[in-house]
Amino acid sequence: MGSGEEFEPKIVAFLCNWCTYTGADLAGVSRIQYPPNVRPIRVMCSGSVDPMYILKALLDGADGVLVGGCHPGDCHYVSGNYKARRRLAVLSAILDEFGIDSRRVWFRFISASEGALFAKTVRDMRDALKALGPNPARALWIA
Amino acid sequence: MVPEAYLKRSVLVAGGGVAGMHASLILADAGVQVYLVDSSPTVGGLWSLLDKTFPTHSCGVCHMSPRNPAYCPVIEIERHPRITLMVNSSVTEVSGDIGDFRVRVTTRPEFVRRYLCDGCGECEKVCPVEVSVPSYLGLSDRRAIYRPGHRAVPGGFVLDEAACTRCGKCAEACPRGAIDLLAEDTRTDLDVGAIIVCPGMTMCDPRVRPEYSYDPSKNVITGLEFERIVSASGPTGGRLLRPGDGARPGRIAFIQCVGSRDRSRANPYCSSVCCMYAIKEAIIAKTLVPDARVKVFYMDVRALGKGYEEYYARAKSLGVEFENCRVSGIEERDGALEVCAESDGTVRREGFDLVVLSNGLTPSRDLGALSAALGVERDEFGFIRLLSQGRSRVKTSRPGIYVCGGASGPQDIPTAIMWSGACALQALRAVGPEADGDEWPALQVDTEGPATQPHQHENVALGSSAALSGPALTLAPTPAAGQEEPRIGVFVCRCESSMGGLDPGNLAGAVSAKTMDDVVIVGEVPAMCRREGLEALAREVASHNINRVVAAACSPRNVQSFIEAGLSEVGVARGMLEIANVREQCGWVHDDPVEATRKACDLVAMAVAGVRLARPLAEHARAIPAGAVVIGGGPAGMQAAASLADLGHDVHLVEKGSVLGGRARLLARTLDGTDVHEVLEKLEERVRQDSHITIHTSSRVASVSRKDGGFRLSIVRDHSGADHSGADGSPGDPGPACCGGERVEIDCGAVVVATGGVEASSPAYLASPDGVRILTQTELEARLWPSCDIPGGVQSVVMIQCAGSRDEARPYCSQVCCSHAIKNAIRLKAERPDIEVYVLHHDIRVPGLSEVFYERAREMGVVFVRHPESARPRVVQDAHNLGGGRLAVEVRDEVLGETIIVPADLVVLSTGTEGAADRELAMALGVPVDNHGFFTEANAKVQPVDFLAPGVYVCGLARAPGFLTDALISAQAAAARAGVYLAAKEARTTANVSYVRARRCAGCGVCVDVCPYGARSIDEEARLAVVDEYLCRGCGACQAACPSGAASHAGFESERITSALDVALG
Repeated sequence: MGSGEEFEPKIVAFLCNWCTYTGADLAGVSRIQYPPNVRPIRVMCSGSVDPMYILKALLDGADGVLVGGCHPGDCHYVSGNYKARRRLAVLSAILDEFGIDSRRVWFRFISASEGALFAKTVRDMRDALKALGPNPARALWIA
Repeated sequence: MVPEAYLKRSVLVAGGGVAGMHASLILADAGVQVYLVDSSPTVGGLWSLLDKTFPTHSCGVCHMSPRNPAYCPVIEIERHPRITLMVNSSVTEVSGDIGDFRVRVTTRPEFVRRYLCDGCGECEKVCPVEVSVPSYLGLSDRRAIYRPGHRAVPGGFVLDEAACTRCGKCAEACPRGAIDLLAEDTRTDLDVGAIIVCPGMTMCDPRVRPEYSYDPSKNVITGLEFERIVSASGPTGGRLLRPGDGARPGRIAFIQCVGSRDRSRANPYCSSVCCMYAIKEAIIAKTLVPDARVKVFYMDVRALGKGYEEYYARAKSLGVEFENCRVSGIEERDGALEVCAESDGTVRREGFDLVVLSNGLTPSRDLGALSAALGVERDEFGFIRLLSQGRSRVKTSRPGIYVCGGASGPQDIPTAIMWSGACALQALRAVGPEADGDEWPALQVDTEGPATQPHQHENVALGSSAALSGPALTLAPTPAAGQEEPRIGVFVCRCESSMGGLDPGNLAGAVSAKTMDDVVIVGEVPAMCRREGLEALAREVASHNINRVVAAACSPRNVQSFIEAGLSEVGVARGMLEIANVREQCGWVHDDPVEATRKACDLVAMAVAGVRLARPLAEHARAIPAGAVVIGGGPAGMQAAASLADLGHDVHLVEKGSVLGGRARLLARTLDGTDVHEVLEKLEERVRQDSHITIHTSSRVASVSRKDGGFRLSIVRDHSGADHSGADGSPGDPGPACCGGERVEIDCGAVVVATGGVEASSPAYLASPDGVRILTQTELEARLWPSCDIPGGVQSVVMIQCAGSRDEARPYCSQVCCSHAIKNAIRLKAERPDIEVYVLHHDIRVPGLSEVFYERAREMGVVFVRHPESARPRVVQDAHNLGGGRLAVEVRDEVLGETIIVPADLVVLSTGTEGAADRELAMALGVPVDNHGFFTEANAKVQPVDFLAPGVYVCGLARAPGFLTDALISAQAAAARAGVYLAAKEARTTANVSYVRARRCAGCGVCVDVCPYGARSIDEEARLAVVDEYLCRGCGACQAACPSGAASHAGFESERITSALDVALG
């Protein structure tokens, strides 16, 4: 990806097993098409996503990172989605300090029944990242 | 672990809504074979049309499953090996008796054969018939062949029989030959031990009040239609737009009691749910359109449930307006709606853009035919009549048939969940706990059409996994596992259905061309969800000496456990399999073969990177000690003990008082006339005679600790020599140390908390100068039964509702006081018609069918005076020369708009209920208590009797204020949960528990704070974190929080994730 004429962003997606990953499966079962830019990584809970993963992904060349969790109140582990939300809020502030646009990191509540929303989120994210352009962090990091 | 006790037993559940799904999951987890029959094409019922539920504002229904965590219950039902789902089906005939019914189920034609359809959608593309979707208000349409909904289970397409023209285009287009337009009805005979009836409720037709203009106006909608409009999966993608013109409504009205509490036109009863759903929708409206004016027109706001009153208060604080009045009509003029409201004897008109009618509930439209087939009686409203108003209300007139979820009267979701738990308990009793070694009753299929296969568990095309009860798992890995050099095999599944844009052969070729460390072989195998595919995989693994496997297949949700079990047979340890989901998350969503193959290749490489670092997963099991302790000897406690004993468990019943019965002893009758003393006497006799139950009165729980997978309770007896009367006093009873002893230690596997509540004290503002003529409702009740003992001079009795409830100090509603007052008022009027009875209130809250008693009280001349919430009544003395020393009550009458003085010979305070949770006990059990002294259940909506802590359950007033019936039903629900937990006899760890890398751990304790289950603690001596792996549920929060990388999440270790990241971005 990315080597063609048009820039295609690379997206890494951390998806919670119970809601968003299942929602992404539902997009498949419903045959809802979305761009192939996303590389999903299944985690048990969005609350288990270490901000270091996101930082690493962005420094290693991801143009965007999506974290998908259950809706508020629906977390299968009581409050993991709230933990994720708080962590990502802190991380966003740090990212801007690093010179990485915090708009590259999306946290979304997508339930197991929202296959269409998952597909739409990937589409929207690809469009937003295209508008932002390639992530400059990797080049900076290597330099 | 599946309890063996109920294997080879079967139960039919008629109705696949919330109640039916809940009962099915409890029974199936108990080992019972469940036939879940629903008349619609999918399960989920009314609930699946809701956007969010109150008061949690989440869907939350996934928490319902007894297993935790679990997927959405509809998915769990589809996946469960002991649940046979029969949709489009109805019960048409029942013969036999409790324990041995034969049920005939008739299934409408299956035009799209589910086991062949893989949901590709080719049929929909060619279908020429357009149908507008009724619940989407014509905002959305579909074809005659369609997918019923986003989370529809069973999945795949269905045919709208009425709309289909039988043109045959779909059958031609279907690549799998799944469509048979000539299919016919099938009939199946099932042998079951018990039947649970829960067909749900039907929304009342809003046209019963034609003056509300539902029919001509598109902008007058029902509550359920509102839910669909605001749903993220609805026709407007979650935006609130008027159906008439798509405009954003700035003024939104909700009209309550449409079709409810309306004897002349519709149903005389209260539908119990509309107030709360309207409040929820009003809050949602306010959230979606913050500047909108949102107003609810109501008769009484019946916030009857735990946390509901607080939720109502929240709506008010968000700016939702509430007006007490009756709406006489709605007129549409130039797109604007005029609501005519009557109050203070005047009619006012107010303009709105959107009007939502809160239409009530009527008995399910299936209920007539169903109850006839079942041979059970119905009441005057068309609901199924309950056998008795006493102890076990879920029983119908026919033994072995139980009812829940709105079939016997309106119920909200938590109530339906508790009733279905109680039904599950009764069904378990009916089918009996003892295995008799019989084979499964053979399924009799009457083949007029093609034979149905209710045991169809082979189809995995749509995610119904075959895997579920695969071979027993190897509990511990062999010592060498994970130590050997990685030898990785990558196998691409030649999926039975199409993988869409992805060709498995191309993928295998592309993967082979990639160099990946430690990959020994890349191969293709037949569908791995089938035995043949699994065997082919096993052969490859064995012949290449593979110890780690990557399967490029469908979602791990479908096949992980099935493949894992198969691999364990050829020595691949659990945890050494990684699935690359190249179907649902690749081929099916990317039509372009080049892109699909490229992405699939990456997914495989990421899986390889992960599995290289995999460690074998160990699963441990330990025994759950036998027996339960029930704390609290009120009706809930006695019922819980009796129900647990019914399931064959030994129970210790601990009561701090010297007698059993609790607060209920102060009551004489319930509103419906049930003699409370008789109920208590029967229950007491029941628990005293049961040889499984040991009673400890005058005893309290001094300490609780977790021990050996269960609990050790220390029971201290306050007075020696009292009332130990377990069984017949036989010496072989458990608890030999009880008699005369001061302290007894009891070990048990489960604890049921039934510690009750207390009557709240009356607030100071109502204090009278003279304490004699002011009573509580309970004190009044004691003077009304068995004989009426009210002095002859008493001419006027004034009852003050919410005396100390729904105010700042106690913001919740005690739920029972309105009914209590009406009951006593009716009794007073019946015994002493000369007495004037006034009830001062600001909402009369009686649930469901109890509305008739409110009506009766008014007919008998009881005067109900409504006052504004802010203006509480005051007790004054002889203010207007009403006679020497007579009391009076000053109250602002909301209808008259004036302050009036009501003379009172007796003032009766409805003081409500206060929580009395023992916080030390709660702490020791590891369960939370709320600000009002009630125990906090795991999930207020769908887990009302559970705690997050395994093995601890709650019922009765300890959980929430409620009626005697609620206490007894919740006790049965808690007993069902505790009983099934104990019957499993052992607890297993989840696969992905967390562990500690000791060398990295500094013992800082961050992980202890983030763990939601209390599974982590610090070993102070070693200064290390330790994990109780039976409490850990494997969420991984500790790993994300640990600053030193010591906390590790098995199967999801951070090095696995980062190496997958390296590959993805490489």
